[in-house]
Amino acid sequence: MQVRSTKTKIVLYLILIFFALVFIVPIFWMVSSSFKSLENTLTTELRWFPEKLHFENYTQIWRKGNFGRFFMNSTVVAVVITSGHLLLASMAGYGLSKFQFRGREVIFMFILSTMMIPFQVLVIPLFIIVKNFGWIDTYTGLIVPAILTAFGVFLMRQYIQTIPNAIIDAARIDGCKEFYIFYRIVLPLAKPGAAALGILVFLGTWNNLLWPLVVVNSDKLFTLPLGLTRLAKSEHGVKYNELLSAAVISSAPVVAFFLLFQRYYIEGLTIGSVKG
Amino acid sequence: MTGQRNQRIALSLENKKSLAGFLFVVPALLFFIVFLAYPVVNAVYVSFTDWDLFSEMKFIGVSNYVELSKDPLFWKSLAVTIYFTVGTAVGIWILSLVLALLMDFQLKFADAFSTLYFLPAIIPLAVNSVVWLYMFRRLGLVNIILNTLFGFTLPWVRSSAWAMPSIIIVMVWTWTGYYMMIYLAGLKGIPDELYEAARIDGASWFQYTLRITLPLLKPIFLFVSIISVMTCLQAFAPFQLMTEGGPGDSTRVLTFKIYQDAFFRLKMGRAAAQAMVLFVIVMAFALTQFRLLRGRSAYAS
Repeated sequence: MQVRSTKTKIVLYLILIFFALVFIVPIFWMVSSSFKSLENTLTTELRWFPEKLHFENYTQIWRKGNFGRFFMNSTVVAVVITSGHLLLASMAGYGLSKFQFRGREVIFMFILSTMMIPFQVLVIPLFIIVKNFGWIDTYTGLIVPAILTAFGVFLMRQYIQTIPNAIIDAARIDGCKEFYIFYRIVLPLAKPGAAALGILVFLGTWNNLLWPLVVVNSDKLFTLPLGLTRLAKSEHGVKYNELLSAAVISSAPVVAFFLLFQRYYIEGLTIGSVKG
Repeated sequence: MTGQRNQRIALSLENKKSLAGFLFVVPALLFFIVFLAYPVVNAVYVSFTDWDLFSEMKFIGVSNYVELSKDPLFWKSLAVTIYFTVGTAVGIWILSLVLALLMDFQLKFADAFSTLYFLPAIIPLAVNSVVWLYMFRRLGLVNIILNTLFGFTLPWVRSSAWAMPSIIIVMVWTWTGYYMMIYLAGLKGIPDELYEAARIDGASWFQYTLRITLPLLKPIFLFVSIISVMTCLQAFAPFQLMTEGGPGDSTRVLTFKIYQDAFFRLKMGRAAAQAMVLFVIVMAFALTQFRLLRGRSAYAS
């Protein structure tokens, strides 16, 4: 609907700007303080900008604080989980939507029913499994138990269902192997659904704190949220400028991707709701 | 003869195709069996044991549950969980709906504003937690602003009265933009003609919103309410980063208590029993959702 009166418009804009400030000031404050000197992060005067750009906060945290390593770990884990998730979820989604076999519905219902299980219920048994497999403190332990979700299977099944059977059957009549059909025909057609799911999974993994906290002990496997946790609890007093530059490092990639691919993000993040 | 043979070939092709379909599902199926179904069963079992992770598991029946029912810390944790969930969810519901309605006026730059509002939702919660922790310090930004504008300050995360409101603020700040987007998607589905018609009939914006928009948004509200409650019940990062359950037990929500009981106190059985309680609560909400959503699709068709 459209507003016509100028007075109403001004009031509406004032409200919008007020909320914009509420949402943006903390983010601005994080970036600004990440460039300040330590004294300046502790001052009681309101200083919106750093007196001078202390880039050394970043180099310090990246090298000595080991955040370069944590950044790499987070990236590896998120990329592997996202790719694995997309592959497994698409395969299952394809099998569950385009084939007839006995038990198909039962399997689908079984997978769906796991969607409501809170992670806190799983965390103890998963820890035991990972321990028995000897995966504690390994990439495998970080990645494998988190590589698939029921929601992913559900989403890809719904999406692949909309691909016309004629295309798949044509390829089959041409004598294509089943996996070739999946890889070369179904996957490319399922791309928009996969993109939305991929964003969700990547963000979720990048965000995850509880599982890495349980499964990782040593520094060399720390992900960014673990690094932040340790910095925030530092016994020798928190160096806020470095903590905040670590925070900027942890959020910069996801924010940058968001600004680049906004449309897919919003589609991806709201996909379960309106369409589901 | 040939007809029969063809039929047999067709049948075996059909079988082959079924097998292929099943094989596509196998990896996922194995995953869900090993990493979801088995752990759930295992968690139920562990909740009936006394176990410290290292020594022999001792089966003790329902003792963990009986102990929990007498444990004031557990009840406190449950109360705190409800406080947090209700506070956060209601905050999110109101703010996200108000913002979505504001966006719906289709002012210039509305898209830019909604992008800004959405930003906190994509930043990792661990980051949001440390940023707000910094702002909630005694002499942090929030108190500086409060002091300048209103002449008072608050103790925020350092006081048992204000710690939970502090975390609720962080969560509402983080998630509002996300739910606003969901409402917006719903609002886009309402045709403009409806508004035009209402306007011609002399209805004011308030009447229109109250009588037409909000009722039409009901299914979206159902989705938002249940997903937000489930997200809150499982929130972990802000508690780990901002308060560690304190001061006192004022922010020791179930998720955080389960983590501490399991991995610090090594009371696996007790932790698993509490996880079961959380499970039941989440299940109740999830089933409500399925029920209500099924009602909705029946309505739509």
